[in-house]
Amino acid sequence: MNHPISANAIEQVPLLDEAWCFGFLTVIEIAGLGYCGGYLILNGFGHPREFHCSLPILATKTQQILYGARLREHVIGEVIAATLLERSRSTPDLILLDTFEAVSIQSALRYPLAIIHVKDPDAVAPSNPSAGSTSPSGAEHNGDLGLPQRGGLTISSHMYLPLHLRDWVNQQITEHIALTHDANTEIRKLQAFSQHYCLKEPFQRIRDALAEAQAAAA
Amino acid sequence: MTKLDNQLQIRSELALQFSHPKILSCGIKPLRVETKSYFFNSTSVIGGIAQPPHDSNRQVARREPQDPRSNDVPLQPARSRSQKLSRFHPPSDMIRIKDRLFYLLQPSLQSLIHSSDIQFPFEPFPYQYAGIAFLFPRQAAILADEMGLGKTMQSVTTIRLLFRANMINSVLLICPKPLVTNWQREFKLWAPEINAVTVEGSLAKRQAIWNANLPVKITNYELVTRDKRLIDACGHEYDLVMLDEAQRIKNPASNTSKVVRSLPRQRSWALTGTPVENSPQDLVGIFEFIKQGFLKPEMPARKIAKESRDFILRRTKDQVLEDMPPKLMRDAELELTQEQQITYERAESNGVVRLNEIGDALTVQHVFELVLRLKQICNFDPATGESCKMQRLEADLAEVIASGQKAIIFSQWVETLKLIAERLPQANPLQYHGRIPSKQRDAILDQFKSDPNSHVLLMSYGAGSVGLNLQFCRYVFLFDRWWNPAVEDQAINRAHRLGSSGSVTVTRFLASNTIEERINEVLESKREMFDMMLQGTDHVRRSKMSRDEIFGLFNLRTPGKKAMVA
Repeated sequence: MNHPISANAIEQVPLLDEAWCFGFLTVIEIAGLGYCGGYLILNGFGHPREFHCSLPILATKTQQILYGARLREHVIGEVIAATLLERSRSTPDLILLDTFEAVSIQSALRYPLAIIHVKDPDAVAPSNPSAGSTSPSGAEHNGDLGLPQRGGLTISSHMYLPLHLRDWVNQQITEHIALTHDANTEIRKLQAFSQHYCLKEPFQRIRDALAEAQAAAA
Repeated sequence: MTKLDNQLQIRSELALQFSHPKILSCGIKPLRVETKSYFFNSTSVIGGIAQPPHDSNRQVARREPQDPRSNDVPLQPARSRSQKLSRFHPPSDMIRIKDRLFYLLQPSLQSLIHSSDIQFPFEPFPYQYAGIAFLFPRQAAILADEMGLGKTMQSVTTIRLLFRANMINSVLLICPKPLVTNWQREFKLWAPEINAVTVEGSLAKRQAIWNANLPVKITNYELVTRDKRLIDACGHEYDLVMLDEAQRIKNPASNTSKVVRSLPRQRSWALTGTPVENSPQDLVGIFEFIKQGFLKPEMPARKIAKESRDFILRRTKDQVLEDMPPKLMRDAELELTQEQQITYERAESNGVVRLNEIGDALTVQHVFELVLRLKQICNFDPATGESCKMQRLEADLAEVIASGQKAIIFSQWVETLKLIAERLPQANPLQYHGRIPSKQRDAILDQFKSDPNSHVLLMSYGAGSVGLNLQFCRYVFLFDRWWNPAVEDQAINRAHRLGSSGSVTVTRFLASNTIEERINEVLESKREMFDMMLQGTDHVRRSKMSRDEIFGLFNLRTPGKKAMVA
């Protein structure tokens, strides 16, 4: 499982390629309306290829009782995220999430997911990233790597990465990235992409677009 | 246990022996979610060949010498990742949700430009990117930045991007005549691949230009009015008609306004640093060009401000420029000299008597004549040549000259400027006003900039208040006051703009206890009105110098109006 690590493994960050394809997926909660999600697919230059959004859904009382603590994970991951990914025509190199519960779709995917964990820049030092903060989705953090954990599920993905990529992941000041698959090639692409785009920025585009779509539907 | 209890127990036991327990099945309807999908052509929205973004932290050289007539702006340090990025936001009148999402889902304009093959001579300021992002998706827009913030550069760059994106193919730019060459220069600088042709020359030549399919035609207000028939005969629809100094069409009844409104076009943009000069109706007039009928003259000022907000982008230097040099305003309230005072009082009392004698035939024009007469006396006593302002100006200029600095002096009268010139031989004053032929004006500005012995430029508000960059001047004197604070601001901003070599000191002369002081009070209220319209502040003040106010300058009763009973 673990990759051999050597100093020679350091490779040059590749140049951006228009053919690359990154998916960004987020789910937001709208008071009184429920959850809705957006899935944005960008090419390697950050230009939009596809956008899929869902209308808000609310769980019924019965569903709330039956799913209990797993309700959020079910709605966000198995219902919204899974449906949005189905609509896509593109095969992304990597899907980035900022909603931890959506990671439950990983088992159904053949491409890697990366969790972008947005830290509180004021509260957290890179060396001790957990410091009691919580992710936007309410997940708690693994104390060692600042990775999200919830409901007993921990993403300990750094073991997939060779040393130089681990360093890059650990050096991110405002984001931590957790991977669900072995994805050296993809993470190098992401590394190149992140030199020009803040990895949180596309999520803001999605949120703006969801607000616009909601306003249009209202 | 009673008999009844026994019977119930027996029944229950029998039921257990002979019946099944009751089961309630509850079906769970799975959660389903409705989705909408949008697919985009992922080529860059700004057109051209997309390529990997440039290094976002690249350093770009600071702009060096300033061309005094150039509208472009000096360079800031290169952008960093912490810099605010500008994104497109669809305008409120964009209907299709797909179009709106297309803009919302784009990366920042900076990213788009840095991942294109577009080259800029200088890195734009962040607020200039924001201005481009504002204009780009809009059919109707007013860019109302304060003078000196680079409206020209922002609009030229947006036009360039729209051409590259094949969203426009023909542009007609209409500006005041003295600014035509300036626009030509700006197109060469910021959009060198676009052929911008000035409409000029003989009738036949102009006709040929109007008929030609050219990407950009530049003309002036007078010519577009004169050539109305030629333009109509072409039947050409422009993808964009853009007006510079658009306050020229604030009166929708004017011939100029009617002509530009009649031009067939897709997009309508207006550039002006002063969309509201006298009253909110000025804005209604400009909207008649960019979005006809959208604003109504009868709308209250507050509603006009609210409705127009999405179509106007207004930034002031204070808001966007952290490294803008300070502007020091000094109001020099001066006592008239004894001779001036005598002449002034005589003129005023005689004038007021004459106005009262006119009775109900009294017009605003009569009052204006007296006002102008009194203002001229505040400048120079016609009998003796005495002038409190001149005394103060000479004292102030001695310091300016001694320090090797340069000053601009504004007046509304050429005669005043000539009198000042006669009194200031030591400053080698140059004159720039309506009586100077256009062909000589550039040479005068060049001399003023380059000649170390030329310390003073005497300018009329009319000739020198727009389109000129004189940021090497550290001192501005308003020898007399214009009727409109926006025009004064424009005059001041010739020197106080990006690239100014240091703080700019503005001295406004005001003769105490005279008509100038009374007019100043009206001007201040206009300034507050302007702020309310364009910056959304709440206080609404009387915004127009009404007939009552004009007659009130001399405590005259407005003709045709009943006297108020105390």
